[in-house]
Amino acid sequence: MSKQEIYAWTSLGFTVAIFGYYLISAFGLPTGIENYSEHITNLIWKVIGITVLIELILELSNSAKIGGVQQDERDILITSKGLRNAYYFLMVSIITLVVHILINDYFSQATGERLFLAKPYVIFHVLVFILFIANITKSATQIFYYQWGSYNA
Amino acid sequence: MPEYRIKNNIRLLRFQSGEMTQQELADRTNVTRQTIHAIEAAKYSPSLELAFRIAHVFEKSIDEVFQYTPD
Repeated sequence: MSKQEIYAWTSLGFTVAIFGYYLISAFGLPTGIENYSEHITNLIWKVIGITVLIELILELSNSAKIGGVQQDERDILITSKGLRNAYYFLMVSIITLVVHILINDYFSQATGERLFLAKPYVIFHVLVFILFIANITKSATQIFYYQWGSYNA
Repeated sequence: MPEYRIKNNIRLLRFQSGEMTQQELADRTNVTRQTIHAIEAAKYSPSLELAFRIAHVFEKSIDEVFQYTPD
């Protein structure tokens, strides 16, 4: 596994852990698993700790020039594919959200009520979701191409 | 129309060059060992510049190392 692939895995693990922590903090645990809250929180902190530790080791090895080439043309190509997919997701999501807000203006003028997704606190959560999922899209795309090849990438 | 794919003889050429390891070839072409592995397994199509660098290591022409053939 190349260093850049390890970075993609740690980035995915870190983002999912932080996203999970955010979801639990904002909305609480789903009914039925409240008793495991301490266990789940510990698991999230372990994932965060492990990913930070791995990234720290990789950074130290990079600065000490251990392990040959750090990044080559294949890594750059795969990273660009990840960024492209994350950007597509981000743009489609943001445009959909803006259209939804504009539709809400007409809807609220007609009925006097707001659509659920047009409430300010919901919009904030949706934006945070979009950012997390965009980052997950980037890492997952990179892992996909590292695992299954980038011949036609 | 048949689908074309870039195939290569890198594994054969490595063994003909005194059992050169993937890491040695990677170091000499300034890429990671995983990229050499991906090229050998036809999972990655290298840039023209990298293809020339690989051919140069084996002192071969590019078409002796890479072939563009129907899949």
